[in-house]
Amino acid sequence: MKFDVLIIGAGGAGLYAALSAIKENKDLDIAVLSKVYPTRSHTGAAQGGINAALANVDPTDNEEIHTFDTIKGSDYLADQEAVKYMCYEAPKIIRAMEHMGLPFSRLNNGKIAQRPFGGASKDRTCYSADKIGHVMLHTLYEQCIKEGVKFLNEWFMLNIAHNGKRVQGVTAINIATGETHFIKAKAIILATGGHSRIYWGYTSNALGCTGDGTAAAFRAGLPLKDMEFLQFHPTGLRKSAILVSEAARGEGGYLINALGERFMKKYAPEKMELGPRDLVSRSIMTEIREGRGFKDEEGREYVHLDLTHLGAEKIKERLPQIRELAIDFEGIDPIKEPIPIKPTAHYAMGGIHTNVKCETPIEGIYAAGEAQCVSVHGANRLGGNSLLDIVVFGNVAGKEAVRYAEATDFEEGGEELLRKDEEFIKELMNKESKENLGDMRNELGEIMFKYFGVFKNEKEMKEGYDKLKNLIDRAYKNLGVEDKSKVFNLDLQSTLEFFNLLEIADVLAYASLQRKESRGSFYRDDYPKRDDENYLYHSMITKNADGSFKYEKSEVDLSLYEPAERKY
Amino acid sequence: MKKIKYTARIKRYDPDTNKSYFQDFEVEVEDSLTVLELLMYIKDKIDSTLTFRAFCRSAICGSCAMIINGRAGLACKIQAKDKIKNGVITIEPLNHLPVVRDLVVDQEPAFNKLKKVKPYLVPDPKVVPDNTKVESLVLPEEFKRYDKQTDCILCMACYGQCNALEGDEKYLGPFQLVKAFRFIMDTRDGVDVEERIKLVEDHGIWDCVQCQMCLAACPKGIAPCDDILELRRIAKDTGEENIATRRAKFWFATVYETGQIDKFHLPEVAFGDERGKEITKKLEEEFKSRGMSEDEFAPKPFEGIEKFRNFIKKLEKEL
Amino acid sequence: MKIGIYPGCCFQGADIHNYDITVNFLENMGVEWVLLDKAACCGGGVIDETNKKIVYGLNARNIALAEEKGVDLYTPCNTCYMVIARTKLALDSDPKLKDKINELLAEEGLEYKGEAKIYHTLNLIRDFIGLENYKSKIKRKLSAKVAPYYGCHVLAPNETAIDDPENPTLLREILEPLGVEIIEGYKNEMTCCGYHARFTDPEQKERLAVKPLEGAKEAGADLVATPCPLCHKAMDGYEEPILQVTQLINLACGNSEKEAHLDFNKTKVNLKLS
Repeated sequence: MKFDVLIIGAGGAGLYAALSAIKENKDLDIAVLSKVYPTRSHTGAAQGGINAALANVDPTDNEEIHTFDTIKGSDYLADQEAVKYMCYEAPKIIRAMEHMGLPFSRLNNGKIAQRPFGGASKDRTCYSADKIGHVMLHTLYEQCIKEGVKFLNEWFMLNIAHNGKRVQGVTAINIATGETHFIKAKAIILATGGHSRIYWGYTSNALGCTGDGTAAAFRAGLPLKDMEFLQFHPTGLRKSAILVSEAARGEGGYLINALGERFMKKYAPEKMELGPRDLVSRSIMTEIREGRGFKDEEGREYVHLDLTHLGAEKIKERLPQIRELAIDFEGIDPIKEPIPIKPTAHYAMGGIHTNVKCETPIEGIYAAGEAQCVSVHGANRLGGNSLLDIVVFGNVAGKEAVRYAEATDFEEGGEELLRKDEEFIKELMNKESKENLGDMRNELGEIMFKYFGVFKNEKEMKEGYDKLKNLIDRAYKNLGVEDKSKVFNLDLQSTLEFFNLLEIADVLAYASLQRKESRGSFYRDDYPKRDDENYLYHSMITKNADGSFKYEKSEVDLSLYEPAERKY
Repeated sequence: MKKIKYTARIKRYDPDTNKSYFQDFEVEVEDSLTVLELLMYIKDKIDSTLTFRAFCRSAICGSCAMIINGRAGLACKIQAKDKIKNGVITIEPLNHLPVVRDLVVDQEPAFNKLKKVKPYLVPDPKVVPDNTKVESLVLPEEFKRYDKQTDCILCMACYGQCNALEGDEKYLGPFQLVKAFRFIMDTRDGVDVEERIKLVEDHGIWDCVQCQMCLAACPKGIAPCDDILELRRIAKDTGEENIATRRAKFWFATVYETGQIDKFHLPEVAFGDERGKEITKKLEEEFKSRGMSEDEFAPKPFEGIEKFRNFIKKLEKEL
Repeated sequence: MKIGIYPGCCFQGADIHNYDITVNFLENMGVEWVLLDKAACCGGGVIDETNKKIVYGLNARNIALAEEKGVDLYTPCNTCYMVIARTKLALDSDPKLKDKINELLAEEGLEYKGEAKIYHTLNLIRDFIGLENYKSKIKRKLSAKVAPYYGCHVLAPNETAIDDPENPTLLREILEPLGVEIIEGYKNEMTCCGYHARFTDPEQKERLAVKPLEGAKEAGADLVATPCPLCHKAMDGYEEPILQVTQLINLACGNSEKEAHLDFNKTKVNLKLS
């Protein structure tokens, strides 16, 4: 099997890449490989919106202000020319998607509606009620059907083959049959999404957001950038960590601890529950750490988001979706009872290092979307910028990959990687599992949330890193696959995903230990201040041949704006 | 938080042995588990070979549609405790699609049917600009005509519950027809309505039995059965005449005239051929054998029908 | 105890005997009734193909006719029940729609208030007559193996379902007191009869109608019993016989086979009466 351009992942980035690639050159053999059906991808879960300075609502908005807001939001860790590129592309790409049939909410004059969003100084976020990610994903998939894009649905990529200079292809399993394949490709695009599932049980992300491409890239010797930066949202549901949107607090919901106190009065006496996301997250975690949280029979710790005082009428009228969410997923009606919540890992700013052309250091390997780190989000992503990022850089990656594939031929070799992967899988399948995969995943989540979560400090991180290393050792020693069937063996797939998570958790923990400051989403209580003098750099971690990590500092592009204090 | 004990009765299919059977799992779990969390619990703690699809856990990706107690729905959106009947909850794969393993079905046939309806926008050059400097204008009330339909997550719950598929496996399917409706209503779409209607007529809109099961199954509150009626309306107004469009016109006309449908003449008019005439002849014989006189065959207008007709006219115009 | 009978198309043409069956049933139960003689067609899922809004108007008017007479509305037909109940839901949750329709209804001196309840045979027995009262009216036992067949529109959509759609028991509770043996869990017991495809794709109707009947026969049932006159019409004429629940009730209340209109069945039924 071989393709000129092979895109891994069928979310917003992967599908946009496929569309721009096929429009660029119809004669090339282009395919998308995805471990799920395209419309299942996690892009669909995005609710809020996508930013573009269309100036439909506020005529004073423009691309330059969008650029500045994004850089400021990033706590000055974003590469400024890259941000500028994204923000200037934004209006064009929004309109391009509109022309594809994307059903945006509209203003009375028929133009695309825009609303205010956190961290944006203008009403800039285009939306479709509360389902923008869903309609975007479906529109892009529809257009892929129209253009005749080939799909390998429910195929799981294992590893990337290259010869140190150029890509050769990838190895993958066809989940339905269990057959493993080596797929030759002139160019590949890694659009495999984020990795917040390292916080298993403490993340808003889909079960499959396991950073498969990021982990494969790391194993293939590619550098990962800014991996210590991962954003937490303050209100995830106790049991599932599914997101409860900010609207609940916006409409007057209280955060209450086990003593019945509205504890935000201690942390943000003026803004109370409406303080910035990171502050609210830290406040909730302080209550829990100091013993004023709740704990359920399963040991899950949480506080209450109380809406009961708003009354049935207001809840039904203003917060129907949140009520539905609490009833469906938590079994609790917010009219009668407070919603149990805890902070939830939400978005990975770090990822596979690329330049603004989506190129990695190996020729023919491109990355786009949440898996990629250009970086346009720096230390903290603004709401409405993630959907923008994935289509802007999906578009770039598609075009660049086509250009590269047009100019090159297939690179010889790489097949030996398949033998290695088959060997590894065979070993797993033959091994009697000494530990339970589900328990180990929960343990990973517990370690990461406790030691590398909302709060971090040297002592705890070191303790946590030892525990993580121990878990990794045990996993490689003890984990086997109990399900022996070849057909749709999701037990095998979950085990392989778990190894990917371990790979990434290791890098994130390692990177966190190196950064002795607080910046954006990254907060250390032993170094609570930003330190531009020593830490205004991108961390770059590469895996050495012996498995050890190489840590490098890479310069941040500050060509447009001088770093200043991030105040709102 | 309470723990509750019950039996999860799950339909299994082992592709290696080609055996299909129900397996009972006795569980004692938190009472607030969703059906998906229940399945994950069983996979993690009891039987790691239990196979089902799951992804977002929050009713937006559409991976985990299955049949729960005989009704299709998303496992992640349904509280298990609400579904325990006599201590048992029954879980099966979606109907009308080949089972791959346990609760996993092959969705490809349904996706292939979706592709038949041109499930995408072909921009109308009169509405959609040819450059990215400007957007096409869509008024909020124009968007409202297909807003709900864009909620569809292609989970296939409606497909797995559809009675028309029970009678005709080639039937396009409810969500496929919703998609067709969505693009017909989009002012930006450049495909002729006639062409789009043609795509949904063969094993399509006329084969729906209006059983309402798709509406009951949809986790997003979409009503494919209602959209199918709308498609029929559009077909009646734009497409070629057929038995169904003749029925619809006659039905409305006689209700307008008398308040009731004239079932005596309906077959003759709808079929429009010998077959219809034959049915009418048989009816005539039957009525006569019951001692009915000819003027009793068809409904007669009730007293004050003029006001009723006026009411219908106003409904058409003013509502 | 008085109820307004809504006359749908199931009382017309070749189905005119359904009116007798319905009236006999109510009289057997000791329920006073009045005919809503100015009622119009519910739309039957066909008027929608002309204009959906007319359907709302038609049924707001039908309900208003019952309210004018101070009675609740009763229809034996699954489809009429579902269409009218769905309209009621729409009107009660949309005051603007209700007001607008009332404006138009005023010319006939009618008003939709939203007070009248919508009854079908199943919930009429359970909620209006009462199951105990119902049982007390039964005079003799029938001897047969009966497969209950609900039909779709009393169980879907969920908002208007008369019984738990996943585990309905009402039909069993109604049939059991008649002395019959209940055959449940047969193949295709929830499959649609196909009635509404009769004039859109007649072959589709033929394929569907026979399925539940075959399932019931396979499970050893002597006959199928449905509350719905449309299901009855669609499924009568095949090997396995089918009757309406009200026909069986009327027999058990002492009506003769002729009075219960068993003679109109295409597929004949053999019942033993004690």
